Amino acid sequence: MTTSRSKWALRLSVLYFALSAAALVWPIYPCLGNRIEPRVFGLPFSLIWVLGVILSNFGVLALLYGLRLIDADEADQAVELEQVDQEGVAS
Amino acid sequence: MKPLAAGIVFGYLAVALVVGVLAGRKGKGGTDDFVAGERAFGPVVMYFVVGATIFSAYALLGTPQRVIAKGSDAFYVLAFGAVGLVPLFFYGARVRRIGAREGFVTQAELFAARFESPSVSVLMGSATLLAFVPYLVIQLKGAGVVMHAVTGWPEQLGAGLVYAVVLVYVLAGGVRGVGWTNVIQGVVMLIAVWVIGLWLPTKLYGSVGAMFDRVVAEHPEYLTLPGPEGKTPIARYSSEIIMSILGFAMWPHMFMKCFTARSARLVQLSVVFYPTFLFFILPLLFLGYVALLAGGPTDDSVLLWLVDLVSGEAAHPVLFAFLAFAILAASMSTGDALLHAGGSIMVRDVLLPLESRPRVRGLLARLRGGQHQSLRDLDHAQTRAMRVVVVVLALVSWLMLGSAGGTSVVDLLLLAYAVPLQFLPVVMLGLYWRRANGVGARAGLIAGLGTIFTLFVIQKVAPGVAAMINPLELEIGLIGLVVNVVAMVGFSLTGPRPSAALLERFEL
Repeated sequence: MTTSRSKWALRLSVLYFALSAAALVWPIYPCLGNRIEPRVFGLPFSLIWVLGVILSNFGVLALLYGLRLIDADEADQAVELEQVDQEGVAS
Repeated sequence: MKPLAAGIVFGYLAVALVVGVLAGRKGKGGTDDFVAGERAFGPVVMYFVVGATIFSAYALLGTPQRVIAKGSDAFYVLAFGAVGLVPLFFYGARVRRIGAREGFVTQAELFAARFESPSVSVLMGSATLLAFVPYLVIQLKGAGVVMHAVTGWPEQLGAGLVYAVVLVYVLAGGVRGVGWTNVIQGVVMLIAVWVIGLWLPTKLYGSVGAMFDRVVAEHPEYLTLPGPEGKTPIARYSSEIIMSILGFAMWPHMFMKCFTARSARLVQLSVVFYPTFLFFILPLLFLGYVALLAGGPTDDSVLLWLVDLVSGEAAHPVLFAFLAFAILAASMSTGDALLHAGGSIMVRDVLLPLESRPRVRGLLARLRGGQHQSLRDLDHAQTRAMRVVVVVLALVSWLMLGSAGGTSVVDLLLLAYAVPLQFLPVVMLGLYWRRANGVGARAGLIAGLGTIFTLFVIQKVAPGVAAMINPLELEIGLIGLVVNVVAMVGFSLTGPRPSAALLERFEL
């Protein structure tokens, strides 16, 4: 894992989450999300929009976690600490 | 007295009691065990601790009520939840590592060390306790409402009984008691709310979609902002969401849970899966719209009122029992975390730093029956002190439930929600800005907390003056935050640079 890769992942993900927050408030939400039609699964679009943001954030977080992109420099150290902890419990 | 519901509720209280007490027998019993569960929580417990703690009785009772009163303004809970916990994904792993290395168990402890300033911890700790009390009172109120509906007892008696159970498992089980019971409470809430949220619209209107067809035809203004009678201007909605997103991950009882995870990665994993918990708000929104179509009451009794819509059905007693069970679970899973965190914070963040002052030490020694050895050196005395504080905190909240009525608590809640926002600069700048130092942190906290308390008092005492100072009616927490950041950055820049050794301890 190169540091420049995780640095870029950090920047891009912070930018993404800032945008996802912006999508829920003025001015993006009233322009795009705040309407009844089109209905999806019978739910009004204003609700689907918010649920969509939650789903999309879930996907991005799962990806960041799975690829060990955030706080990945210390990933090995985390494993070590985990071992230390387990030893601590065992002793 | 409703026999089935009463049977289920009392059975559940008994199970919570047994599980909580059993949980307490597992650890070694020191503060590290009582507060941080020996940092050994696995994925399932972490998932429910994070999810169930956030979903309070207020979310359960208040969400359908908000739909009836303000329409789609109620989506607010989903909206801020979508992003609110994300900061924890970025700093949670690091907080977990630092905590394990340095032996921290509370939020303020970590930042007192980062800023080499015990006053930072005293400031954060006392403000937190002040914010916890009204938050606790509404949890007790939720429990009281349910017990009243189930047994017919007065609210204060019912709440007292429920929180007596909570006290026992918090005192005996510590954070492990809180965690294990949260698993039961989380499962109950998820199942009950989904079952009722889908069953009721289907029973009454054919399907959830058909129900929304009727809402579109009869009350379309309840589906978009600004809502009925234009009650929620988009600017107000936006500012509330932004404030909640910024403050959400700063609540000390949430932050502390980073320390309980078995590993740093696990903290991140619980943030990843948090949105699945968020989806449980959805059936509550459905129920709100059912109540709207059926002309339900606009206060917090609406959820229980809804069940009576099908009072002729055979399933009615079961539904009612399930719902009572779920509200109780929501109240308890938040209340226990607040009580437990309150005890830990009072002792570790407020008493221990103050103990270095001779006058306080004398007072503490007298309170502890002439014991002269300091609390800092006596791990078991600390745990005992935490238990005392937990009991006092529960008692104060219970008495407030009896005396305060509804309105003053709601007022205090506005102040309570402004408090964690004032920790944002200390947390974020403390973790990410090398130049941030103790002078800045103290200045920021004093300025931010001072601003919100002053504005709150002015609003209560002289509303006319408040309107003059704050003509746009901005959230007081947001004004405090701006003052806070300016003070913290300004004073940090004029103060000394933190030493390299210190920064290294905090991975900066």
